[in-house]
Amino acid sequence: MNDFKDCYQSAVKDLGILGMKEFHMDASQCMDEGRHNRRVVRRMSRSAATAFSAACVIFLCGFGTVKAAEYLENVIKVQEWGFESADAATMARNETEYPRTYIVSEEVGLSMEDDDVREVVGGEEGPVLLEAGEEDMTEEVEVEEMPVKNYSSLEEFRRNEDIIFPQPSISTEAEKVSATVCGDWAMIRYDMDEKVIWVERTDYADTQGHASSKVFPGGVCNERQYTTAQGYTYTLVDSVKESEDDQLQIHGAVSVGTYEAYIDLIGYTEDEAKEIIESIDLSLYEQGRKEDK
Amino acid sequence: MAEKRNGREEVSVSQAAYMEALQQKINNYSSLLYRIAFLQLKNNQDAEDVVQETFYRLVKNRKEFETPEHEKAWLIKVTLNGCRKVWRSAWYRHTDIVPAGELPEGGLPAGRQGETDGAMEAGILEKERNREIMEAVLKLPRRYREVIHLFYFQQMSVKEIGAATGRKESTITSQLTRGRELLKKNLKEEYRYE
Repeated sequence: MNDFKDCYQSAVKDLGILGMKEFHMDASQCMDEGRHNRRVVRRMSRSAATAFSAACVIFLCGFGTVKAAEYLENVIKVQEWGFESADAATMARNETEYPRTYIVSEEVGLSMEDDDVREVVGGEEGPVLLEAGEEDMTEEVEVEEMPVKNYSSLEEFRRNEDIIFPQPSISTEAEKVSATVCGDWAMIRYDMDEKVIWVERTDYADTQGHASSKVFPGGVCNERQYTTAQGYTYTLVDSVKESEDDQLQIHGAVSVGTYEAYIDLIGYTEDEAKEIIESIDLSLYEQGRKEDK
Repeated sequence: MAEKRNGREEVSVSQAAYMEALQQKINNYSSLLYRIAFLQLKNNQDAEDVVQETFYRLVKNRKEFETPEHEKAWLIKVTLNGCRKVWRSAWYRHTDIVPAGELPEGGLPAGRQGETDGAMEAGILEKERNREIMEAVLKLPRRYREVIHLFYFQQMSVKEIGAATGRKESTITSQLTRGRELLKKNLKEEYRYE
């Protein structure tokens, strides 16, 4: 019987079979502050891209006739794979037939040419991504490509965007903040030491019906409700852990008027998560809408 | 150049000498750290970033170490933390770059073309075994993969792994046990693990 240590050492030395390149580094490379900053920005951009494609919002089209005012009856449901939300009429219809929508998947900083529009068929087992053309497409749906804008600080985001986006109190303590905006959808990521928070919101005021999904590969569990002191009720879930040592990942969803907001907290306890959720002033979404009118 | 100050000997290193010393450290440790990062992240670009970031921190903090072992442990710890940072960013775990089962087919390693049939066969078999082992290790949950690598490749003790990862020794022991169990399950060939 072979010794695992010896065999593993041989395998690691042969890491080229996994595509590992030779690594050479010059001392000047690790003394260069500019290079360090570029690495940080690159990592954050990749993170934003991954978040955007992993937890995708499905923009939808062609559902029809529901008016904005009826979004007060937005429905957010928890499925095994994550959150599903829609206006009440669409949700009711979706329960009797598979929703047929199109996903706009944008990779921040990358070309849209390779992998931009795919059909999504949802059902009890969650959205299934199909390559366009894999199934007959009996109805033509126009999908508008929306530009994705990235900001590397809260200040830059506020300077360039005039949108309502209530901030958690922790936003001022974060080491790094980055924001991504795409149409009526916006997401801000806050990095604190080993912890991360994503807050995202979508305004459906200017659409006529929607269905969206937020998918967490690996699935979710432990569905519960939490009502804030302001009276807003979040639906909370946890990501399914791969191992008992995995960090707790709590995800929350809430609907306020025409807005839908999500928060993902990685590395926070339940109590800390609730404290952060409490600090987000969701009434701004309602006030903003009144001001608009 | 050395000078005496307040009774303590301090080494005043010129920039060139400092760079030389730093390059020496990079030469000593970069390969080790890069392998650790690559096995955690399975991605050349991310592994490279993490290792560069580790040395950047070493330079920025002007860390002084009591012993080379202490220095090595610090570098490994910072590298592992860097990997975790990447890992935790945005569901990274779902974007493995080299999925198991899609590794390149084994072929003769460079420079072995002239060997005899027996040696060639042994080389191919070794390559296949390496591939099978790496696939099994890469399939392990990240925490187990981390301790298995540090234990079997870096030959660190449970105590040293605990210090490098910030976990209790009992946790490391249990992760090693679970990692071995999973490896036994996933590997066709039987191995001695102790």
